[in-house]
Amino acid sequence: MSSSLTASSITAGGLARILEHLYVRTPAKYRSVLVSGVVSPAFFLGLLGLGLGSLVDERQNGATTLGTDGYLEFIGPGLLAISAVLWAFGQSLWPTAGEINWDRTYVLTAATPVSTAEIAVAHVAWIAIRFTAAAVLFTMVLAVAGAVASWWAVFAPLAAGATALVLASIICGFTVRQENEDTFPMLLRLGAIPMFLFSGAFFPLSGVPAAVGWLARVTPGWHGVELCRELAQGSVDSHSFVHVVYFVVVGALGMVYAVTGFQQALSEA
Amino acid sequence: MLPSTASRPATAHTGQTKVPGLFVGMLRVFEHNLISYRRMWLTLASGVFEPLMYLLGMGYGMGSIIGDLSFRGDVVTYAAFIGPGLMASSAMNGTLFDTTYNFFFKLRESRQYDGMLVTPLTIGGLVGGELSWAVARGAIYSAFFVLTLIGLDLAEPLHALSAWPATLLTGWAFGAVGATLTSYARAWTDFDIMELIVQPMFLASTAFFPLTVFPEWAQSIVWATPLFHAVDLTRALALGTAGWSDLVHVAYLVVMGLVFGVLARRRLSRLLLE
Amino acid sequence: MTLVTARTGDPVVKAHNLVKLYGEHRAVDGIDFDIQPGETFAMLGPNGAGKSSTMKMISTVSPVTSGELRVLGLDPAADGRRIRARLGVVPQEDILDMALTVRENITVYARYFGLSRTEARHRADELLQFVQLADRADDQVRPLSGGMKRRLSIARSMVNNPELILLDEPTTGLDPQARHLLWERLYQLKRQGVTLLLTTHYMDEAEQLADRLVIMDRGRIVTEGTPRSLIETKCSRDVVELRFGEPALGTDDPDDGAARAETAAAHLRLRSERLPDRVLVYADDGDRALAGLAEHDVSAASTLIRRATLEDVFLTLTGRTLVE
Repeated sequence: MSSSLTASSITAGGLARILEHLYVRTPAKYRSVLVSGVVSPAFFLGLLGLGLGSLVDERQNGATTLGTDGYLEFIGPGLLAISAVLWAFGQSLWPTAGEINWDRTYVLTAATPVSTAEIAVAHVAWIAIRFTAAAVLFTMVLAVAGAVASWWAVFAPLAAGATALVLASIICGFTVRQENEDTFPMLLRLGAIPMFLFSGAFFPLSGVPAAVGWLARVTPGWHGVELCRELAQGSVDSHSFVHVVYFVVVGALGMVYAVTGFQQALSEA
Repeated sequence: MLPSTASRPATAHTGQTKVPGLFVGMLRVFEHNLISYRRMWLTLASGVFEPLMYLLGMGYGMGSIIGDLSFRGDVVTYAAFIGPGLMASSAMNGTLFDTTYNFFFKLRESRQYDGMLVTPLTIGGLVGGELSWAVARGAIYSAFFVLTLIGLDLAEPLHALSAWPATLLTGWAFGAVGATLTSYARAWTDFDIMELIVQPMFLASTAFFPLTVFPEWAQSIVWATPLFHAVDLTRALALGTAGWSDLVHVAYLVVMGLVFGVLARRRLSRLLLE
Repeated sequence: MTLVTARTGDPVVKAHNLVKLYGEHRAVDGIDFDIQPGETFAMLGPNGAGKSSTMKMISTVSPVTSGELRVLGLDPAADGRRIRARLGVVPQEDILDMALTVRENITVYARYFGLSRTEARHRADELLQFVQLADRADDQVRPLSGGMKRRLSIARSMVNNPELILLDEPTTGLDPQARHLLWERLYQLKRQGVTLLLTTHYMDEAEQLADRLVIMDRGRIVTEGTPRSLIETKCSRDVVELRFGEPALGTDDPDDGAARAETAAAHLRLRSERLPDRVLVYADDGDRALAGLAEHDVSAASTLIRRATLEDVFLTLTGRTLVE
């Protein structure tokens, strides 16, 4: 180390070493949700929100297409909901299959007085709870970045958590019904990627063909993005209520799908 | 019961055994992959749609709020701007995924490489064959991408075609890096760190917006990343604005591929032949 | 009946003062042996004895640190590829490609040896017949039993008509029935004149299959010979096993019985070995030894007279048991 380094000097190498230390020190079980729920959306926020945002704001300049003051306010809450979508897909496929088929912890648990339905609900809920915790952090990031305009935003993590819950119930129900994992990459490509792109997080659905727009409007992703944005903007109205009703109804159906799937899988196992 | 030849005396063999050379070895590894993936063609085929959806979603969806952009003086639609950028990024992603997760699985979990190396195959044949498989797979996806650019009238046919070799170079260069990373990885979770580096690099690579958007100090950081060179080269070719100065991009990627290719071979040889 | 000395012809493997170092650790510490054409040669020893390291050097995937090694008359350092073209290797853990069918696992490997696609397929069918997996040829590998997977590994190792097949602990982890089926197939190979080199830590396996064996411990060869000659020269014909019950509570010396047995054996001029759970007394006549021990007031909870095995040879030579 050269002697010119003082207590206040900052070098890339030094920062990298400290970051690596922090990374390694963080237990793996927190790491994945922090990466998916905070770090990764923060990259998008910083690079697309600011970089792409400067272009969008220059072009839009006062237009009302976005419905927000600027692109940062538009994409920020969208990223919150969209990372819930990716997290739900990520946790409900391989890790869920793993816990049933390889670890077999649930097979053991099912042999105790606990019911299979309880196992299913707890499994899905745990996916959503972990995400909600990370969503609280990311909402703070959004507030600091200036992408939040209202105190309603304190409910945004719950809306994102609900998105993860509804989606996780459906995908877990799918996963436990599969004989092997061959269908998982297809589901990612035909489910996760389109939902990621076309839920209205990055651009308003007015920019895509109407049919794609309507298809997007039945997915939890779109409802999550809209609700998160309405909360962050403080523009809570009857639309927001529709999203909540959607989550309750579809969530209940998804849960039934998951529970029956778990019952089937654990009775065979 | 046993094939009669099995009782052949030891000495009768000498001199008759065919010992495939390096190139043949690479071909065999390639063929091995081809057979392994034969039953997974649907998964492979669906891989075509991923970049397409990105192109349609970001190209037209984002395009609706961005409009046109200028690249080296030419004004192009946002979809035409982003298309080659996504093509280069997907070439990187494809081979990087193959040479990390898939390589690591065969190296540490199934230990298939140990099994392959007790045949006349050499380390050079193994690494070369695996890498060329990864590049070839990416090349097929890139070819679809080229067709899409032409079909959607986002690039002149000849220009779009001329961008195809750039994606092969990109795939090879990143594949060599991936193979090297794999040789250093101790566990699956080590690749999380790679993802943490690749994602911001992807977002900043100018695939989505021009370099000029960045403040000056950030521009030089972006310039230093390999994906920037891949994106800029592919875009210059696809939009027909490539010039001699783009050879800098080619040189960057060639050097990266060579250095990491040699490193990967050396590292894997030390791991597998200890 | 069995041949102790080399047959005529150049040895298939010849090692002289062979050493393998991993860092500071001396995995193989100066060993000498040779394997003759057509013989089945076994390396016996506990984990860490240096068997697998020796195998890896012979299959040319691990460079020799020092000493001399010739495989099929060639130098592994210079002619690795040529050697591998004439070897068959059955690794300790079955390395099979789960994405391929049973038959494809063989044909794909055949291609690495330069066989044409038609030859490869023909050869695969012959070999699957031989290892009794012909009816599973088009099945996936994953659901096969452990014994079937091992047989598939053996079939795959034979794809190039190898002159020497290396088998690293071929029956570890298999149930008794699967072991016997495997031994029977290996015995067939041996009858056809294929040279086999196998490592094992099972004594019965070496006794069943090997013409000649070396016992290895901590990187060195402790002894070598035919299974029978080793038992005869390094041990006694019989072994008396004495087990003593749990000592009664409050007894001064918990090992009283075992200690008395050892003293008694010494009086009878018999060698004895004390293990955690029993005492072994080596004698050429087990019945007489047991009677002698009884005269010295040795009363065990249970006694057993059996023929000596290679396990006893190992214990005699190293003072340790093989499977710990």
